[in-house]
Amino acid sequence: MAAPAARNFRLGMKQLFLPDHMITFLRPSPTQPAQFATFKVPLRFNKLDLRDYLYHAYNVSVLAVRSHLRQQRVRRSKFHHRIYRPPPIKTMTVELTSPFVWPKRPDDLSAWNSAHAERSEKFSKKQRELQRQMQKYGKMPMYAEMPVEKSRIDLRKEAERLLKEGGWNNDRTLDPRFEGQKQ
Amino acid sequence: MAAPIGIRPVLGRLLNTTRNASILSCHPHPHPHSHSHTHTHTHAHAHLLLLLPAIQTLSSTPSLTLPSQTRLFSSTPELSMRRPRRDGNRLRGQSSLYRSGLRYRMNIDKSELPQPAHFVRTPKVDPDHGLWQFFYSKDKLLLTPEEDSEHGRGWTVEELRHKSWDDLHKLWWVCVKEQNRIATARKEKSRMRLQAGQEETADRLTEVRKTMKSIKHALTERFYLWEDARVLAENDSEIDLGNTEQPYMPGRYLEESAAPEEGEGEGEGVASEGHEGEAKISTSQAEKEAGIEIDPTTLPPLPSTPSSSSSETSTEAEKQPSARP
Repeated sequence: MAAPAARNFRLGMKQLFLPDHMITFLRPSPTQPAQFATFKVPLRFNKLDLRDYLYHAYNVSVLAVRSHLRQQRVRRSKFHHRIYRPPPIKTMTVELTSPFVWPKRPDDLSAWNSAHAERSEKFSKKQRELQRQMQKYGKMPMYAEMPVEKSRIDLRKEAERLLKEGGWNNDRTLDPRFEGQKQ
Repeated sequence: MAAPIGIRPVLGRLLNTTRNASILSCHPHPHPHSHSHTHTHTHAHAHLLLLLPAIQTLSSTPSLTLPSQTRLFSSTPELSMRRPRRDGNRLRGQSSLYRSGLRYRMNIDKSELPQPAHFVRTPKVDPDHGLWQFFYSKDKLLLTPEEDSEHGRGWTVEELRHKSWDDLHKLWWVCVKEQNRIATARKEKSRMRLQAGQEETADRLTEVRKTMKSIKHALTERFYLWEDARVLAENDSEIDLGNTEQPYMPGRYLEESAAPEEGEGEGEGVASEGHEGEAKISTSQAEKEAGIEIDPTTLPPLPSTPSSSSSETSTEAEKQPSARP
């Protein structure tokens, strides 16, 4: 265990032996300086709680704490079908004594996302973007305005070739059971 | 900085020209005019030096490197990282009467201004930083689903019953930190839109929660045991809870029964801790004074090993209620 970090604040006096709060360390936004760290904390937490928690549990002394409550959107309940507003999310940004940079995100995500999942994610991303555009401008994009997909270009090429040369072939050997039916 | 306002634009222009000239003079010139170029360049420099020697110190800023300072003086983000304050209004600041735009603030031409470099500071992170404990390792942000599922079961209540309060407290904090690690990884995964590995993380969290529940279970049991013992002691006429030095004052029947093994009893009584030992000593002394014969079969069995479990239980049980505010 390292030596206790230097601090310039007075610690709380109340002893708490078995706290079970869950603190989430949030990745900073790209423009956030390295000497700030953001945490998602329980609603009952105040600034002094987080400061003492980080000091005692993680040996991190903090210069300042900024608290922020984010209201959630109104939802419709699945149980009684009435709308309700979920409790807000409390995040606190602390100013650290020494900077901290998060580890890099992995480049290869194949361990988490399969090829199929990647494809479906790509498709849903495209759909989301389309929907966003529609909501923004209030009209569907023209079919001719949309970018031409590679599959369509290939299909067109194949059709031209068929018209010119003829000869239908899908590179498959036909099962002998269907030989008779074909004639 | 001490230059009067009137000559500042002039100085800026001069500085710019000299900078451009110096850049030009860095390249080898095949033309014979190069000599004259360098001449003007040096001339300009001389002018500058005559005008304001302070400028020279400004342009050659000494590198201030303080090894001890780990954080910046200001917490403002870098200039290049800041959000632009443009609102996209083309007519911002135009007068409706004169159709005039904003007057440019400086007296020098905009083209003469040097462009700020896109500079992003890369801070040096302390390898012993406490916030590393929110991750499984320093070079790896997330665990793969296979690595995530490599965990055992949680502690059971039966295993934890034999542990001391210090051990349980340490284990509790290990669980709390693991919980925070799991929460951090889960949030980061959802931000990265990673689909696989959610069940593995949930299983891991379940085992941690089971351990925490077992710790509370074991401590609650201990507290109830202590309470029961206290109630029994209150009703027992031989125990005086007000006397902290020697709460156990044995009755007459024990005094009558401890005579024959005086030497043995004394030696064992000294070796063993707890109330039994103290009681033994007191009875043997009482026997010496009284000189009464006691039948050894009526004696309660002496503990073979010194049992510290009772005292341990009491201290832990005392700590337990203060844990819940």
